[in-house]
Amino acid sequence: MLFNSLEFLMFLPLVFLIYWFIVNKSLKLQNIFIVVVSYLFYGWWDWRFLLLIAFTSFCSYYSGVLMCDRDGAAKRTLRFKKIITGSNIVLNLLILGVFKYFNFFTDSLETMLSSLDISLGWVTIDILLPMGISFYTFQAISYTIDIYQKKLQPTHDVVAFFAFVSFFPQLVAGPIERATNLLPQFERTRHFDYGQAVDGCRQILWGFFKKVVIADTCAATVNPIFDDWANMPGSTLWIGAFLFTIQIYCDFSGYSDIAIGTSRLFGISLHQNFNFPYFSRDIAEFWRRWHISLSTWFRDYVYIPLGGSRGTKMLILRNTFVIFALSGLWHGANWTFVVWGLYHAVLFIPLMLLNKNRRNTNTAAAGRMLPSFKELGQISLTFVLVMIGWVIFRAENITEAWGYIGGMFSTSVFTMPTDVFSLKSATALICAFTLFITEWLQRNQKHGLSLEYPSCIALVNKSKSVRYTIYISLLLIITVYMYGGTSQFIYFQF
Amino acid sequence: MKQFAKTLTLFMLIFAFIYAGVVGIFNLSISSEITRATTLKKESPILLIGDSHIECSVNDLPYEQLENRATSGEFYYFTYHRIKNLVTQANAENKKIRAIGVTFHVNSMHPEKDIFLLNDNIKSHYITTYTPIFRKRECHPHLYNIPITDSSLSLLLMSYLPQFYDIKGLLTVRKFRNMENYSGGFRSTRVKPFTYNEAKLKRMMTQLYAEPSIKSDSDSKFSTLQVNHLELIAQLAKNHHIPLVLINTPLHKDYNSHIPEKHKRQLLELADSLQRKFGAIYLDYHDMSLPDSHFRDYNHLNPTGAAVFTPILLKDLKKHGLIE
Repeated sequence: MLFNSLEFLMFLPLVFLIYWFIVNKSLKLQNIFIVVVSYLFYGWWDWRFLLLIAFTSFCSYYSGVLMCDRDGAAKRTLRFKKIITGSNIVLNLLILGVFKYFNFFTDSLETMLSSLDISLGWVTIDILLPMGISFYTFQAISYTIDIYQKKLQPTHDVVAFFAFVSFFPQLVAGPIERATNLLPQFERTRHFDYGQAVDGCRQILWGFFKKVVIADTCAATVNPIFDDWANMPGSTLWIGAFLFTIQIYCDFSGYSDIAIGTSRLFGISLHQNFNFPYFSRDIAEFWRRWHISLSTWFRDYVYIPLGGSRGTKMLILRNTFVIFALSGLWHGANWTFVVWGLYHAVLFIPLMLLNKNRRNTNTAAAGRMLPSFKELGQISLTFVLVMIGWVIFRAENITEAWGYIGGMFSTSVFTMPTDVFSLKSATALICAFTLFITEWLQRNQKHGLSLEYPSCIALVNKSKSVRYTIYISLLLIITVYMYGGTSQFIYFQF
Repeated sequence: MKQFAKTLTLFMLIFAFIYAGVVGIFNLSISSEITRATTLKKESPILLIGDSHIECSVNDLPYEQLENRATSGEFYYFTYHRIKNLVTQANAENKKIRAIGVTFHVNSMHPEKDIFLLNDNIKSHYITTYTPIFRKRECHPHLYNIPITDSSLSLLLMSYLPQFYDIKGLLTVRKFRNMENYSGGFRSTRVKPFTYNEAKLKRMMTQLYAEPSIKSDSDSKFSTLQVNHLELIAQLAKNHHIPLVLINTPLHKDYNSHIPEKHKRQLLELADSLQRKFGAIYLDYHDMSLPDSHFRDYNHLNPTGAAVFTPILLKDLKKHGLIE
């Protein structure tokens, strides 16, 4: 079920009402209800993959049970725990590998060997990629590792664990939640919090606006440009890259906002996944603000175990390249994603080696309305570098990415962009402008419509009618845009 | 919890009230569009209808005898319903349609049209586009045999309550008809000049005819839905004693050379069968030699091309006794 579908708009209020009014008497019942509706939500797309998610959940749950007693004491030797943890990781990675990467690796091997005139004659199997597989397998893996590292006591409540893996708002596109944060929330009684619910609604509204209005409008201009990039002048290619940069952010962070907002309606708090990444002043800051749940996952479960930033410079270099390459590959079975990851590693490493990767830990232009010239320059440069990276990410293959980027830096950049004055492109550019203004004003908040901290615009804080006017206008625009067709979220494929 | 429910209900009520107002205003504006879509502009014209090939090739502005109502990307399925509406409306207003000229082009018969027309996204687009023009009961069962998919509810709602449902879709149609795709006539000032590009043409044609069953010389198959509905159009015209003209508009010479022979042959066979069964007239201009400067792209004329082609078409229509 897609968030931006009519089915979900009927599903959510119904689930909300049953959750708080009918099954609220018992925690167990509430958790069973969460599991049932989450499976319904996921099975709406393809019920066959419910078995896969149930299998993943059961194996991870049981590996936790095997490792510790009910009172939490270590049950077996360290070696045994190592074997259990390792087996669960291998099993999850195997599932991920088969469903997501099998054809990629066989194709790549076949291509490599065919250049040496060796033919394996393997048959490519047509495997359907289960939606959100990378998200829930990573969540399941982190649970076992946390137990092994004694950061977490394993749960003996199978329903709570199944609810943790399959919780519908974040099941198919994250945020990738840690068991240390999410699991305890399923083990204790939840109470309705008015403030959380209202802010959750605001976050859902902003998420929908970003996805349905901004991302989908940008997509309408971006797709034809990327489809016919070879015949477009450089100036149009820049517009395509710029709008895709906006599209992918609004698409993915829009999903995260809807997921986090929806969870808050159910008394569950999820981690922030995006923190206004396009106002970053360097690449290191960008990665602290973009897809935070994935970056921290790789940091905690890959980078630090590999040695992190301790050791020789060569070791640091290796570790950095490994996590960026893996993070790229996580996105999909295509070399473009790996190259995209490595491109970011190349941008990140100088900062790392010069020890400047943590110099921008606060918000840009903190305490001021406008950034300084230096900050503006840093933000713009980071934005352009990220934008070039998105071209690699969006391209079908490396040749296309190279050609597109080459076109962006060709002399045709000085010609008038094609179709830029069409209504479609103009609307997309207006959308991008709206996004930048709103998010800049709200950059100290948790999302674009949050009122957690005093807003830059005093009137919004003071006047309820101003706020209502904003919300109703956004809802009207979303309604008008929503049913021109339902489009998928880009990150569903990952 | 109670406070939350109260606030949310109040908010939704305010929203519903404002939304109803917006929809009301919108309905008033769209009703004129619906009237326009089902009413002839001229007294007794030759109605030219179909897809972009006709749309781009004929400039009806200077000619009282011609009325170009073709719309880019239109399937015969929808053309059939539009003709039906226009004929009914013309009869009611005592207007006379002298003849109906429809697109008759090898691209319009491409087998992929079937898949395309039955695709959920396309369905949802066309249903919203055409719902103001015809009622659900008139629709082809294929289109309303909607599977239980993610968008099934949306599609059903769209088909029953389009004006409350897809404002953007309907607005897009207005924009679409009024601004962008009409390059045959006066609304063509922003059309890009055509430049010949061998590589692009090859890529395009490979894409179009790459499927082995389409490429091979045996078992050539046109789109069933397209052919069936073209026959329905012919039957409709015959029932109302309106002559039907099948118009195969000019193609760029290089494009023409890339079309598989069997498709050209099959088109001729189809024209022949329609001539025999329904007395349709076939006017073939596909290999008419026109320079690059007359084309918008490989298979559509630009305003210059339309200005040259329209008098030629008129002359041939006269030759067949359709215009005095």
